[in-house]
Amino acid sequence: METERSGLQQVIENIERVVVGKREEIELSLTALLAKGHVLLEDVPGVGKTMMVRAIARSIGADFKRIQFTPDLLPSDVSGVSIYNQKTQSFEFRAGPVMSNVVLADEINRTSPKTQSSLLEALEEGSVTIDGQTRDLEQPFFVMATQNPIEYGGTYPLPEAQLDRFLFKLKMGYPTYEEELSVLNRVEQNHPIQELHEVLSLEDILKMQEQVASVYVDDAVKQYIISIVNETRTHRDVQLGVSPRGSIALMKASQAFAFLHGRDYVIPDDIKRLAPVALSHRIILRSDLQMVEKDGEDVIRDILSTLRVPLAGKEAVQ
Amino acid sequence: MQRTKQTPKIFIMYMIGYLLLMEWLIPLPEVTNTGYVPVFMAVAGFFFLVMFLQFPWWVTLLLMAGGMLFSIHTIFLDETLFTWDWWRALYLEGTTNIRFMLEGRWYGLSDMFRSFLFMLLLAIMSYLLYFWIVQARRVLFFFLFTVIYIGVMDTFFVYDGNLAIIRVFILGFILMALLQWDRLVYYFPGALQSRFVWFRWTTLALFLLALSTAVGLAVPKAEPQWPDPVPFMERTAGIDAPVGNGGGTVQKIGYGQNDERLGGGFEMDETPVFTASGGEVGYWRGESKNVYTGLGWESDTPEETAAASSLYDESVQTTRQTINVQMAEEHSGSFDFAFYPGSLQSIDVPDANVSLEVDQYTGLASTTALGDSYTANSYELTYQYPEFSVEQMQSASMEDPQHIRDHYLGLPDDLPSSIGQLTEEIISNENNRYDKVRAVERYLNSSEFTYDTSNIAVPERGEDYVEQFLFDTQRGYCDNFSTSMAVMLRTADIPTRWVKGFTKGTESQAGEDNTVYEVTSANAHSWVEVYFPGTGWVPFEPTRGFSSEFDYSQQQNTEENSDTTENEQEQQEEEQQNTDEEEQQQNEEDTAAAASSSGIPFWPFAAGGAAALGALLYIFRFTLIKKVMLLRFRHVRDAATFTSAFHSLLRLLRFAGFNRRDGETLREYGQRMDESFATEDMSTLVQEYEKIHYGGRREKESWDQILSVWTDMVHRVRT
Repeated sequence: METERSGLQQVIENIERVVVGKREEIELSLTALLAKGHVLLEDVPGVGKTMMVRAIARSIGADFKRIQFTPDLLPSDVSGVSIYNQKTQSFEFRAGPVMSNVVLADEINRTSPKTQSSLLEALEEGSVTIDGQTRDLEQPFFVMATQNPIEYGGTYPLPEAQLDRFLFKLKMGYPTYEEELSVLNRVEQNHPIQELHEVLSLEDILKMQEQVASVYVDDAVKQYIISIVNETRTHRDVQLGVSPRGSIALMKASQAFAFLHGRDYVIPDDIKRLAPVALSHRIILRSDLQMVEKDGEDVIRDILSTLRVPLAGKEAVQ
Repeated sequence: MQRTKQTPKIFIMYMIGYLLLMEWLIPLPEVTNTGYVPVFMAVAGFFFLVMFLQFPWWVTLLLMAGGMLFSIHTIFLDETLFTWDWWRALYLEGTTNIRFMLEGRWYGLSDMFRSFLFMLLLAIMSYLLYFWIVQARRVLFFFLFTVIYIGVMDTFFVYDGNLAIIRVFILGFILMALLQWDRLVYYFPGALQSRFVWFRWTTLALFLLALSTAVGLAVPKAEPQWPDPVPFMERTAGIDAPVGNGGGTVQKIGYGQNDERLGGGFEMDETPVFTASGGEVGYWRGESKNVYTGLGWESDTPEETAAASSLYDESVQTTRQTINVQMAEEHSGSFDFAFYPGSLQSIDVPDANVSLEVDQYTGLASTTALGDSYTANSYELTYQYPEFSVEQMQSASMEDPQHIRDHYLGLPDDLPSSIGQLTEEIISNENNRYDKVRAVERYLNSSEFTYDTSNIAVPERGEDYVEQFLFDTQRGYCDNFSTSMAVMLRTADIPTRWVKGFTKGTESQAGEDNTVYEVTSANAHSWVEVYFPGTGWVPFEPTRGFSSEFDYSQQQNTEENSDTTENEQEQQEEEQQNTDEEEQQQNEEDTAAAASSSGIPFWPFAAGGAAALGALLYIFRFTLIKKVMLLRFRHVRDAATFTSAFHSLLRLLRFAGFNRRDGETLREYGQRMDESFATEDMSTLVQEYEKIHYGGRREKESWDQILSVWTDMVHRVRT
């Protein structure tokens, strides 16, 4: 346990050498990786989204592919294509960029729903079907999709059902004054991403993903998850609450988060920390509220601040 | 002492302090035998002046000493001031009193020396007030104590503090307003610089004061919710309430001397008084009293003694009997007179030449030896035991001798007329004295009245003991019944007197013809004697639940007599029907008088103790809870105990006002607590708790460390 934890800490520190002041986002991304989930980054360009994904890939020795989604991108550009080889007189499969360990799907909302769904199938199933043949993806498989919240012209917003495929929806945000200064200092000579080296192997990550599943979740914690989810279903600002898939996602994520913090059990704090990022994209607010600049995250934080955290072991005394 | 710039304002404040101190002197003449209070006031004023002027210390000392000497001279010394004789008188006083002081003979101190000490106190007070008002600018405590002092004086002494308390409040508030101003200026210099602020402040203070005083005077004042505390304290402290100044008292039953104030409940006391063996006994007579005051009984008969008592006329049939009396250890030496049945003839004390001096009016049989009173502990009495003839009494004339009329018909001038009217109603159908007496006796024996010994009312000033019993409470014991009968009969011009003594006592047979009577304090009793011309003083028993122990003989050949007999039989049947309660009363008997020792009731102490305990518990509740917690969880050896300990810590924190907020996880709460109490204990404990309950790790090698963290945290928690 301790060795894995120190390994993960090294990964975090490694990434931090490239991405300044985003420890939380790094931790959450790693959590998603460990929970076999994927991350949707919603932020303006240039705040370090790509850098972070690349740093993660480098730190765990994974190959990294980037797909720039454009309106004319075809599904085959994502998943790969079979080409007729005249020499061998047979079809040969050319793997698409999705056939990789770490994939950055940039500006996913700019492409057509058809192409989007080809990626989303990969996210959900861990496999792609090309020419009627199902091909498993490499493991571990980690996708970080980005979405620009500013430009909506000519975009195809992801439907709610597909947002559900992402474990977390994160925001990067601008760096602080000191952080930005530090960023400038680092890239003055040459970019530090070049000097990053591998800290963990892919095998280590696979092993950890297995261990995460065995992190203990007490009934009190499960009750806490359920009561949060139930609150979203009855909240007055919410049109559609979190589905049971959301509950499962939150629990899985909390296991990974606990593991990342060197625990083999989940505590309510894990849930409380993860619920905003894990649930906010799984609810639909009442349409009239979108005008008042209240988003899913606000609602979830609202619920968290009023919901009494249940105590485990309480019945042991009372 | 730091020198302060003396301003008129300081002078005014200091003089208000002087006036407050004077309020302490004003009550003195009324509560002590202090005289010359104006002189003390003047000398105190002089001290204040000297103090205010802030001379060098030796000048102050000299001036004060001079002031003292001069006032002592004014009060005590006749010699010319500062002559040789004057000094010598002073010197002698001083040396004598100092010697007394060193020997601890405080009562020997002369008035002059005490005055000197008092002036010394005044001098010290002048210094203290100077310190409080001019230096410290705080006077609340002195003010409070002055109020308390006036309150105590008003409550416990005749001093009327109504005006004093108003004066004290006005002076005190003015003084505090002025001092508050000074403190404000001191703490916020510059904030109140306007020239008129001082004036406005004072005006406002005076206005508020006038307003509150006016309101205070104008509002209706409720009657005190508690009765005067003095009787209560006297009762609990075991002090006899002074005549006419008491509330309800609870006494111990017994034979006492003072009957000036009757009433109040009493407690049973089975202390043996004496045992006797020998002849027949009705009641044991102690003495009688003849003057009813409205509150109790006194005696004003002339002293006229003889060697034997003469209660009955010669015509009464009597038998001569003897009885041996042995005083109980507890009461040996208590009585220098004898209790006797019948009419006492002589006393025989072994090994002593004791003779009787029987008061012819009260019947008190003092024992004397060689002219001095003698306390006999073992003696033999010879007495005439009577058997009264009912016919003789019924046919007796109504003509009483003058000396009987003089002493035994008196009633208080303000006796309520209702008593006379009631008596008139009761006896209207009877035509002779005996039947009238019996009618009243029957009336008091009727079920209209209840025999009870506890919570018996005591008449307040202006109330009448008998009226209260007959018309108001109708509950009481022998004193109520006997006094009522005596007074009622007197309203019908029948001479009566109130007798106290003991009932027969517990009877037991010790061989043939030898009855042993054991008399205890609980046998104390009072009854009535009625005078019948030709018969003498005949005892009657009006107390409900007591059957008459006297022999009245009668022939049953006349209708009237059979009437009486029937009545008596009815009465006896009624008594037999009476429940155990009254049989018990037969044994418990009754008190005769205000006892010399007052019983101390238990419940006020219990209630007070409980209240005090409750208050203590409340004040120290936090510490107590912690102590209990630490004691309860001094050993933690498993997860379950630790869990309990942790939860009790959570409750303690909640009690201290640190609730876990909604939405706050245990860990966040722990961090918040750690910040509040500057520690890391709570987080440590929370992590341990998480490990147990979220991680399912219930085993642990040693709990000592975590216990010490817990203990430390418990110690740290403060409200």
